[in-house]
Amino acid sequence: MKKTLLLLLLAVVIIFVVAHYFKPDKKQPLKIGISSCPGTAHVFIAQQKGFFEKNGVEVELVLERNVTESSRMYRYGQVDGVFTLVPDVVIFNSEGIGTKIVYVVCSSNTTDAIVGRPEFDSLADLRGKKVGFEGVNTSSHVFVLKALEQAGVNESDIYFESVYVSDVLSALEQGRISAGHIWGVSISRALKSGYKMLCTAADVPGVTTHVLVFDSKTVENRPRDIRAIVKSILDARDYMYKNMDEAIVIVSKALALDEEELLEGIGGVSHLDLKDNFEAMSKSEQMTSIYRHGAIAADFFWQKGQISRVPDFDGIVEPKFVKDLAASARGGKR
Amino acid sequence: MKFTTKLTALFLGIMITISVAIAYSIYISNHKGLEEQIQHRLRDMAFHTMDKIDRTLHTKLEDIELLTNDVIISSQNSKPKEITERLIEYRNQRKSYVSLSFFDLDGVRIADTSGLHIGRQDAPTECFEKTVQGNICSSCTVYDERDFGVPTMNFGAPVRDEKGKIFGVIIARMPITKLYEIAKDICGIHEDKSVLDLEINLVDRDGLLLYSHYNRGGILKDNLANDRCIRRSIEGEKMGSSICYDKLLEEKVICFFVREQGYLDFAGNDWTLLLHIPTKTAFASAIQLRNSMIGILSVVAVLTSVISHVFSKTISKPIIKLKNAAVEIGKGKLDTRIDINSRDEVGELATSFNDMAFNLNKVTASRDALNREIAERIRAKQELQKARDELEVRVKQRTADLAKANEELRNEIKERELAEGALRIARDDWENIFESISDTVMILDRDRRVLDCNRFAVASLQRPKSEIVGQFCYDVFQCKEHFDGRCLHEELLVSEQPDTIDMETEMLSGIYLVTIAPVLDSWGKVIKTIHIAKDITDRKKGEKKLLTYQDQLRSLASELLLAEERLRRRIAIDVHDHIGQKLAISKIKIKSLCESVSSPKVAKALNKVSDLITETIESSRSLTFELSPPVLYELGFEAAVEWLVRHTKQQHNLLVKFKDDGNAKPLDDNVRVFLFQAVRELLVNVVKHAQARHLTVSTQRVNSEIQVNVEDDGVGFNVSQIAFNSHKTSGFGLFSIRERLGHIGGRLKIESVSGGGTKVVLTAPLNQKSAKRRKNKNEYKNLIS
Repeated sequence: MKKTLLLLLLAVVIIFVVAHYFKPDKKQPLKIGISSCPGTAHVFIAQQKGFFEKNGVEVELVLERNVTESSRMYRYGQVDGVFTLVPDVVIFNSEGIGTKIVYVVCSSNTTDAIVGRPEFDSLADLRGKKVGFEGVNTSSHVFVLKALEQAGVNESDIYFESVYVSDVLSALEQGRISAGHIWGVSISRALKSGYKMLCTAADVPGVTTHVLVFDSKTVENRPRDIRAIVKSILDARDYMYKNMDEAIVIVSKALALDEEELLEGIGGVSHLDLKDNFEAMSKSEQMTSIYRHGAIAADFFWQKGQISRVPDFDGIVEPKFVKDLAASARGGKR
Repeated sequence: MKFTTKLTALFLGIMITISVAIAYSIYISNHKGLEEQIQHRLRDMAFHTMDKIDRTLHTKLEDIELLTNDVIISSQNSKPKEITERLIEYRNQRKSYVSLSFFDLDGVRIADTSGLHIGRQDAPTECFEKTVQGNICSSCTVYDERDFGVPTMNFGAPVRDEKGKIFGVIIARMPITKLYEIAKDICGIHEDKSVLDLEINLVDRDGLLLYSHYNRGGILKDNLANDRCIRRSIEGEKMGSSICYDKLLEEKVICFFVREQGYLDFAGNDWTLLLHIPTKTAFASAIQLRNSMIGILSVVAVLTSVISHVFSKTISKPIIKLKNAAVEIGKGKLDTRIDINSRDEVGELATSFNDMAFNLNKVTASRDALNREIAERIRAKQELQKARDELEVRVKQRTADLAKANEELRNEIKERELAEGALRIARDDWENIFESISDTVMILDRDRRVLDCNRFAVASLQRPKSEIVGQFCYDVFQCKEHFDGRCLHEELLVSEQPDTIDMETEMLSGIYLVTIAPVLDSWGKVIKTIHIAKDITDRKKGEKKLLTYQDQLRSLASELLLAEERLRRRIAIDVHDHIGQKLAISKIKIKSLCESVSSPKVAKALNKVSDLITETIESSRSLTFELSPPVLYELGFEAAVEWLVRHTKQQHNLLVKFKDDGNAKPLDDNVRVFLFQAVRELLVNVVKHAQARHLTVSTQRVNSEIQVNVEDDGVGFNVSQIAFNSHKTSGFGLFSIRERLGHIGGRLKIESVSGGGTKVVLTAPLNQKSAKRRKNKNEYKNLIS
């Protein structure tokens, strides 16, 4: 009896010691930066309808007015991930902020545009004029320069001003700029005010693609959570399209936007479903592939002397979550 | 604590102490070695990174100085667009600058690669001020400009004309994040993963954070002057290391710092490069080793416990045997020996122990024998004493039992005497009763041997009792074994039930009602039979006479019926043939007279007489049928019954049906007459009493009999109470029908339920003996004549 007790005591001590040294770390909620863009509307559905909780992940959405500001938060390490655009992802990685694309949210068709004063009929008319964008080396900058380039206008032919997209209308009204990059609900407001649409995102493919990115360490340390987030957003996307009226109410409340304008904004983007994501995450020269979008952005920055080395997108795109979900869906597990 | 446990604990303690000591020394030496290795590596990384930063900054300053000598840039005649294009070209080639600007001496931006703030006068910066003062390629400052999203390092160079006069300034902006590209190769950092989780911080001479690889939000905001390493650097130390707690990372880190030394003619900015690596990451291999050792030690501890226990058991086993043997000898078992074959000291001890036990056993053997004998004697004496005591007790007990038995015997004898007296009285009573019975009573055994008989039997048999008792009953009665083929005695032995039979015997000269009853033993088996014979000769004779009278009475009744029928028939014929015929003739005569009379009054009176005659003819015809319907004799029984049914229907408004099976039913006349009257009587009964709505009469032949069914749906009646009470009915009642049917060999059956109708079935024989038939025919002829 005494021997048994002694052995039991010994076993308990060993278990205690081993458990002490191998205890797992407590999880923190994942912070994700997001802006009030119609392309990411269904993310708010995921939050409001409890898809994140349902899939077993705790998420904190940090809302900013503009993509540039939410990207700045990510750059400063205030969030673990961010809904941003592909050019920003290239810049993050060039700055040593290891960032991986885990999900392609949407591609803008008419939600991004350059609007100009009524006297301008095309981008070519903007020579010698001042055009607004959201800061150097941002997606907005790339969009404007690429659009002008396509219109045969050189960088040196134009004067620029750094204006947040949300402030473009007032800048136009004040006469500070002649045209500017604008998106979302502001487009319809601008058009109602008599400004002209000179170019849309559809004219400059591959630049205004929204993606969800996380820093490399988070992707490495919390793959299950990220998979759950991707699944939640996909679930929310399906829910939004099935219950559009309810979705509009939820998102308009979350973003403090007019329901009609929001509906118009959502109509201007194409929210990618699982199948589209699977295609986007596949390496291809097609414009549907995120690799192609990345290559366009990287080439632009390299040409403009902003990166010294074209990044390898195999290390930036992380398709395993989407592919895993696609495999599950094919196997009927979803 | 047991010896084995002590040994186990000892071995376990030794093994664990040794293992822990070895593991600890391995861990410590590994830890220290790793720490030295990391510090050495950090020093190399920091030194080379800082050196590369200085070289890069030097190169950038050279670049910008070279740019100011460009033909377009240095020409005062160049247009802003040309300058812009040149700057853009330069930017695109160098791939380091986010932006390049050309300012005039008033700080107005003339050209800019980003096209921003053209024509605007910027606030003078330190870099601009220094450059305007003519410090060629000299300045390098970090700025946070909102336009670029990240802090930038600004390089300034004055632009001189051909005479060397400064007329403008070139400012080139390089993102501070470009330092990442400088450091990453040296520090082994890759885009997707930091090899060592290395964190790079660059601070200026005041401790302001200029760049951080991990604290990006703190750039140009956080001041690390209080950091131990930075403080040492500010105080003038060129390089050094320490382990401190990082508030941002919230963990211990190993730090190494290097103060900027400059490169060639670039004196540097007094910046300090600080490299951090978390101890958790740095010592990951040591921690892994420690955890592995803990795991291994745990396994070793368990194995050691088992091995120690087994080893202790092996060592202590012979000692425990010795101890157990000593305990046994201590208890007096001197033949105890130990089986140990080892040749060590324990084996020798065991041999000596066995010798000692042997000698001890030998010395104590004789004493033990003596003690045993004494003990035997004492025990024998004690047993003897005990036996004597037990004997005395037993004698006393037996004496008491005997006295008690005597007393009980006496009581029993008294009771038996009393019982015998009662028995004698009962026997006397029985004999008196037995002898006084006025019937012949005999008691037989199972073999029919007479055991006893009463006085009446002796008198009846006219033999002394001694000749009867002991004889077989059939000898006594001088008959064969059985009477009439039956032996009540035999039957009783089988049935074990009493029985009664009328018996006529010559020996007793008369008819006797013999009753036999069994006498059963306690098992229910018949051991004797009692025979009681009552003389019923006179009663039997009376009954016979009565039957004869009854038969004669029935014959008489039958004769009476026939006589009545003959009379009815004769009257009917007379009425029909004489009165009827004459009335008819009278009617014809009156009619012819009426036609010849001229007086209407007379004619009217004659007509009235004619009508009266007509009514009389009808009445006589009806009377004829009621007295004796001619159809019974002319067309037969079935036709007569059908006429009767039809007549009843007309008279009493009943729903009457008649059915016949169509078979020939030859009947004797008396039977036919009787059956017809019986049916008429039944129909009258139905009309009077049944309150029936429907009535069915059917005739059918069943074998050699005729069956007449009279069935109604009336109120019915209780057959047992009403049908055969002859005194309650008059005339041709049911009793009379039954009696007379019986007389002619037929039978009557009545089925009736109160409220459920009545069915009467008359059955009579069809074929009578020919003599009787002839006789009846003659009678019928007589009747007809």
